[in-house]
Amino acid sequence: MSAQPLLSVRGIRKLFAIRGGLFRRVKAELRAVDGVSFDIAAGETLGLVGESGCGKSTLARCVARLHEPTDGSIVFEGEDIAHKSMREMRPLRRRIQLVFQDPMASLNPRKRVGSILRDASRIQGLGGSRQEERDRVVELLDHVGLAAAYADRHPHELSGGQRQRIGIARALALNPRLIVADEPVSALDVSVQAQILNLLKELQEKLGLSILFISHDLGVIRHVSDRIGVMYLGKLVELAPAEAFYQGPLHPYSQALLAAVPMPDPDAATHADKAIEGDIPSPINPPSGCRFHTRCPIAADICSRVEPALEHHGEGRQVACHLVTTSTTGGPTGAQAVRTFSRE
Amino acid sequence: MSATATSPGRERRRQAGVLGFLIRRSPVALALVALFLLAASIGPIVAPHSMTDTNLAMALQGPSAEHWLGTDPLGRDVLSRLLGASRVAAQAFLIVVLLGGVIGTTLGLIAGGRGGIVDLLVSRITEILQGFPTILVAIVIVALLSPSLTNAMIAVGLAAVPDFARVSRSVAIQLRDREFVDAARGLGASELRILWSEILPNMIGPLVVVASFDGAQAVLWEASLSFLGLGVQPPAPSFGSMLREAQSFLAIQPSLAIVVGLAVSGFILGLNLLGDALGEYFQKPGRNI
Ligand SMILES: Nc1ncnc2c1ncn2[C@@H]1O[C@H](COP(=O)(O)OP(=O)(O)OP(=O)(O)O)[C@@H](O)[C@H]1O
Ligand SMILES: [Mg+2]
Repeated sequence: MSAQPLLSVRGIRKLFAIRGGLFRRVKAELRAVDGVSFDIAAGETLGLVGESGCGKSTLARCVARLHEPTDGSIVFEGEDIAHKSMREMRPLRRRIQLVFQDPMASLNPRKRVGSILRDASRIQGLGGSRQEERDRVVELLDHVGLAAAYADRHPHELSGGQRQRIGIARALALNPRLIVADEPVSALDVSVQAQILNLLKELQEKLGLSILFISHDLGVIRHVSDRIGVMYLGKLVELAPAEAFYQGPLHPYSQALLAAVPMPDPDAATHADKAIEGDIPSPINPPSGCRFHTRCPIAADICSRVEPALEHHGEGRQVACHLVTTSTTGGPTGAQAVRTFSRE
Repeated sequence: MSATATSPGRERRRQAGVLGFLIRRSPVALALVALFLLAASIGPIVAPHSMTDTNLAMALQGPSAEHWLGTDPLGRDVLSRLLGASRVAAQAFLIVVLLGGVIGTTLGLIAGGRGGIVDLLVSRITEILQGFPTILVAIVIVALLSPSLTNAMIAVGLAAVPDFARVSRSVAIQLRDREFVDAARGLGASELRILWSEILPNMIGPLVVVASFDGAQAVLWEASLSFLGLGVQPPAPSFGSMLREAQSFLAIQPSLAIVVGLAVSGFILGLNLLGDALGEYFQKPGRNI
C-alpha cells in the first residue's frame, strides 16, 4: 500500500423506507446498498457490474452525494463526505462529478450546449468574462472531440453519442478528480459505445482522472477498467484486478455473469454451464446467509446460514464466498475449487 | 466545418415551429388575436375620431363613410371607441396574466419542487382561492377601494392564480427528479437556482396555454364588470360599458349592440382557439416555444 487512495468507501449502506397504508407509515426497508467497501486510487478506473436493481445507481449516487448514505463512510481526499450537508458539499462537488445513463434526459432540453457548459462553472461561482467563458466552452468541446459550433445547438439537435460527449464535457468543466459514470454507454448504439469508451479512456489518461464506471455489461467495462467489482443485491461479492478477473473470476456469480458475455477471445475459459437461473430476489427481504445461495449452482449447506465476508485471496483479489479457498502454497485456487465442485 | 453550416438552417426551421403550426392549425385564431393586438397597440393612435367627445346631434347613427361603424347614444364614433376598448381589454389581459402568472407560477414551482409539507400548504391555499367566487371578490375589492380597471382585475388575477399554480406544480413534480436536475445538483446548484434556471424554462409552453385561456377569461370579466359599472369608469371606453349603453337603445339602433358584441366575442373566441391550438402543439414531447 503506497499513498492513500483518492476515494475510500467503507461499509456504506443505503436503506429506502417503503411507505404505505393510511398514514404513509414505513412498512418495510429496502436495502439498496448494504455494506459496500472499496477504494479507488488516483488515476484508476473501477468497473462496477451487476444485474438491474442490485444497487449500482444508488451506490453511485451516494458516492456523488446525491443521496446521503444511511451508514458508512466515504472518505474522499482524506475527508469523510458521507454525511456532509448539501451546503458543505458545494465546494467539494468540483472534485467529484457525474455522467448519467440517459444523455437526453441528463441535458436540459431548453438550454443550448454552450449555456449547459457555462452554467457548470457559474453554479460554482467560477464564471469569468464573456470571452473567458466562451474560450472555456470551446476548450471543453474540444476535449470531447466536438467542434466549437456545437455550442449553439440544443440537445435535441444532437445524436445520442454527441449528447453523451456533452454530458462528459459538463462533468469535466470543474476539473474533477473523480468521475462517477453510471452506465454512460448503456443508452447508446453499439457502434457509438466504443467511441465513448475510448473517449473516457483517453480523457482519463490525459487528465489523470479516477473513474467509478458502472455497467451491467462485463463486455463494456473490460476495456476501461483497471479493477472490477461485482455487486449482487446490495453487496460486493468480488473485487479483482481486471486482468485476473477476466482470466477467471472466483465467485460463482461473477463466473455466471462472465459466461453470459460473448467472448472475442477463443482461449478464454467458457463457463456456459454456469448460466444462472431465476430472478434476482427482493432487496426488501434478502435471502439469509449468502444472498446468492438461492441461485447459486454450487450452494452448500453453510451458504444459507452464514453470510460470507469479503476476504482477501492474494493478488489484490477479494471474494465473498464460502467455497473459495486459498491454498497455503500461494495464489488463490478458489476458481479451480469452485469449478470442479460445479462439474460434479 | 459542417456543423457551422447546418446550425443556422436548423435554427430557422425550429423557430418557424410554433408560428407555422398555428398558421396551419388555427389561422382564424391567429388572425383574430393579431387583430386584437394591433387594435390595442396602435388603435388609439390611428382612431379616426375622439373617443370621448360627445355630439348629441350625431347620436345613434348607422354606419357611414364618416363613421364606419356608426355612433353611440352620445354621438361618439363607435370604431374609435372600440379601438380604445381593445386597449382596455389588453390591459385587463396583462394585469390578470402578470398577477396570476407571477404569483401562481411561483407558488406552483415551490410546491412541486419542494414537495412535502410546503406542497400541502400551497395546495390548500390555491384550493381556497379557487373556491372564492370571482364576482364576489371583485365587488368586495371595488367596494373597499374604488371602481377601476386595476382593482377589478386584481380579483380576476387572484382567480387565475390556481390555474398557473396547478400547471407549474405538475411540471415541477415531473421534472424535479429528472437527470438534468440531478446533474445541476451534482454541480452544486442550490434548490432555488434549480427551480429558476432548470425547471422554470421547461414550463413556458404549458404556461403560455394557461395564459391564453385565462387571458380570454380576463377579457370576458373586464367586459362583465364594466357592464356592471365595477370596472372602467365613463367616459373611458370599454366593451362592457359600450354594451350597456347599446342595450338601452337596442330597439332604435341594434347595429350598435351587434358591432360591440361581435368585437368582444371575436377576441375571446380568438384567445380560446389559440389556447386550444397551443395546447395541441405542446402536447408533443420536445416541443417548446
Ligand atoms: N428513491 C428510491 N426509493 C425507493 N427505492 C429505491 C429508490 N431508488 C432505488 N430504489 C431501489 O433500490 C434498488 C436498487 O436500485 P438501483 O437503481 O440502485 O439499481 P441499479 O443496479 O442501478 O439497477 P439498474 O441496472 O436497473 O439501473 C432497487 O430495488 C430499486 O427499486
Ligand atoms: Mg442504475
